[in-house]
Amino acid sequence: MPGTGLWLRVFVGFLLATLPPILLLVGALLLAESLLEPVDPNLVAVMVVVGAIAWAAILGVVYARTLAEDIRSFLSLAERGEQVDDPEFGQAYQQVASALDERNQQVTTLAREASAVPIDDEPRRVVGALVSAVRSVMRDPTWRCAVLASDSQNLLPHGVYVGLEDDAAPADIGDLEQWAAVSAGTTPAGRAEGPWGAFAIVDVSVSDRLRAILYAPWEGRAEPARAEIAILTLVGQHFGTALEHSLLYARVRSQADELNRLAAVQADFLRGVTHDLQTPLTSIGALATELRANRGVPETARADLETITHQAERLRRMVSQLLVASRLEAGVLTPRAEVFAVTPLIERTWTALRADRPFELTVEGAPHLAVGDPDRLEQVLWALLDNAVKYSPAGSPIEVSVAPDDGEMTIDVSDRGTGMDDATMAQAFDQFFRAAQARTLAPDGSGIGLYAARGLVEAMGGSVVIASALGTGTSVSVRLPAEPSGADD
Amino acid sequence: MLPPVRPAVLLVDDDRTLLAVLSRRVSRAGFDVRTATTGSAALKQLEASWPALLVVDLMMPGMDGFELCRRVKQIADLPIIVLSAVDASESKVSALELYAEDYVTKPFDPDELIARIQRVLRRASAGNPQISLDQGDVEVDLTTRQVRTPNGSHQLTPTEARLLQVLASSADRVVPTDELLDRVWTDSDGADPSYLWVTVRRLRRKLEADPDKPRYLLTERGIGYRLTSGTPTAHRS
Repeated sequence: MPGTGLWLRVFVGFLLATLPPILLLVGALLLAESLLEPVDPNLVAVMVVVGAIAWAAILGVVYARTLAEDIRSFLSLAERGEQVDDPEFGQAYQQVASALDERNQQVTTLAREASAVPIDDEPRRVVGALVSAVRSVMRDPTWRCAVLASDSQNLLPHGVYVGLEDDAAPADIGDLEQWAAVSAGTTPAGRAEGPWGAFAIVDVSVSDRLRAILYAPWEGRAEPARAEIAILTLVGQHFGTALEHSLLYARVRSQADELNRLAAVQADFLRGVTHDLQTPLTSIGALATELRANRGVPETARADLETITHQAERLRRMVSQLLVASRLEAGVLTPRAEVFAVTPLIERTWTALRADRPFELTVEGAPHLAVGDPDRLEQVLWALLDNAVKYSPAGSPIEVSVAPDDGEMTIDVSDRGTGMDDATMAQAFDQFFRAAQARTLAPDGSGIGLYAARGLVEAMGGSVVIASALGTGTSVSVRLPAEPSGADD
Repeated sequence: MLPPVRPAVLLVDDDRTLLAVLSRRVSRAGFDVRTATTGSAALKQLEASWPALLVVDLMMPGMDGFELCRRVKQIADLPIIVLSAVDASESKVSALELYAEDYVTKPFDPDELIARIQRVLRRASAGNPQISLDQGDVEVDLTTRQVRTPNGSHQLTPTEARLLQVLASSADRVVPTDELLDRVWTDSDGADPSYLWVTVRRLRRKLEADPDKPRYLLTERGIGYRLTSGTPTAHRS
C-alpha cells in the first residue's frame, strides 16, 4: 500500500536528517572539552550548525524528489478510485461517488423543474405542477401536497393536490393530512410514524396566510439521510416561494383586470358624457350665430348672444381638454401632421379668449410653417394663454414670441404674474395638480390644462418647458417640428 | 328653364334640435336636405331613394353610427360624413376610415360641415381612389392614404391625399395654385401659397426617389403643379 510506504520513508528521512547532526554535535562537544582545549567552543558550535544545515539541504533535495513522486501518484490514485488495488477502499469510494452523483442529479432536476413551474398560471395548477416536480426530483410518484391554510380560497382552495395530470378539484383534507401537518412540527423535513404508517413530511409554510405540506409514504424505508433531508428542505422552501409568487401574480392580475374594466367603464362614461355635452353645444353655438346674423335683433340682445357664444365656446374647450386627458391616459392620441401657419392661429385663439389685456405677438427669423395638428395646437395655445391671463394681475401684458430654430419652431407664452416656486414648477404638468396660490387666483381651474397641453405637444413630436420665478412671471416654451415656408423652385 | 339640381343630403342624428338647426343651414347652402333621427329610419329612407351623401352621428340609441355606416355601404357606395364627439385619433374611429369619407368633431360650426359636404361630393365625383405612377413603381391608395414606392411605404396626411387626388383628377394638366388652395383646403384653414409649397415638398419626400429632381410631382413656375405618371430621366433612358 503506497500510503504506508510513504509514511515509513518520511520517518526514515527524518531520522537520517536529524541523527547525524546530533551525533556530530555530541562528538564535537566531547572533543572540545577533552582534546581541543584551545579551540573556541563558539567556533565549534558554528561549524556544527553549518554542517547540519548542509546535511539537511542534501537530504531535502534527495527526499523532495522521491516524495513529490509519491504525492503525485497518491493524488492520481485518489482521482481514479476504481483503480485502487484495495477492494475495501474502492467500494467505499464508489459509494461516496454514487451518492454524490445522485445528489447532483437531484439538485439539477430540482433546478430544472423549478424553472419550468409556470408561476403565471392559476395557483391551483401551479400546485399541481409543483407536486409533479417533487415527484420527478424524488423519483417517487407517491408524493402529494395538502394545502391547509390559504387566505384566498378562490385562488387556492384547501385540499389535497396530486399532480399536474389531474385537473380535478383537490380532494378534501382528511385525518391523515391533519396528523401529518401536526407531525411536521417545527422541522422543515423529516419522517414520522402514526396510525397510517410511516411518512416523509415536508413543511411548506410561507406565513400564517399560506401553509401546506408535502408528504409521501415511507413505510419500510430507512430514516431519510442528512442529504435527503437537505434536498427535501430545499424542495419545501422552493415550493413555498413558488406558491406565494403564483398567488401574488394571480392577485395582481385580478387587480389589473379590475382596473382595466374600470378604465373601460370610465372611458365609456366619458365618451357618453362628452357626446351629450357636445351635441347641445353645437346647437347653442349655431343658433346664437344665426340669431346674431338676424338684422331684427336689438343691439343689447346681440351682445348677450355674443356672450352665449363665448361661454359655449369655453365649455366646448373644457370638454375637449377632458377628452384629451382621457385619450392621453388611454394612449390613443394620434394628432395629424399637417403644415400650417401659427401666427394666425395664435391671434385667433387670443381673440377667442376675449381677455382685456395688452397683447404682444413677436415673430422672428425666416417664415416657417409648423408641422402638426392645428386644432390640437389651438387647444394648447388656449390653455397656455388662459393660464397666463388667470395667474397675472389685471392690466399686465401677455407676450407671445415665435422663432424658428433648425427644423423646429419655438412659441413662447410669457406673463408678468405671480410666478411659481421650484416645487410648484416641478408639478405644473401633473394631471389635476393645482398650486395653493392657483386655487386662490382662479378657483374655476380644473388642473388638466397644462397636463393636456404637454401631452398634445409631445404627441405632435414637440416638447414643452416652463421657466418661472416667484414674483416675476412665467414663460412656457412650446417647441414643434417646422418647415421653412419659402418656395423651393 | 329648369331649376338647378340640388344634391340630396340625408342628415341622421338623434338630437332633434341639432337636426333642425343643421337642416336649415345645409338647405340654405343649396342642398336638398332629408332627416332621420334613428339608424333604422335612415335605412328606410334609403329604400325609397338614395341621397348624394349621408351625414351620420356616431352615437345614437339603438343602431349606432358604426352599424348604420356598415349597412349603408353594403347597399351602396354612398359618401358618408360622420359627426362625432370623439376625435379621429380614437382607435375605434380609425376603423371608420373603412366606411366614412370624412368626420367632423362636435361641436362644430355648421359652415364647416357645409364645406366638408361640398368637398366630399367634389372628391366623390373625381373618381378612382387608386393612383399608379411609372407603370406601378409608385402606387397610391387614397382610401387608406398609403403610398408604396420601391424605397418603402409612407402614410399620407389627409391634406396630402386630397392634393394628390385633385392633381390626379386633372391627369397631366397643370392645376393652378389658386385652384389647388381652393380645392384642397377649406376657408377655415386660412391657407396661403406657402401651405401648398411646403405640402408639395413633404409629398415629394414620400413619392419621389430624389425630391430635389422630381419626376412625378412637377412645378410649373408661376402657374401651379402637375402630376405625371413618370417623366423619362437620363439615368432611366
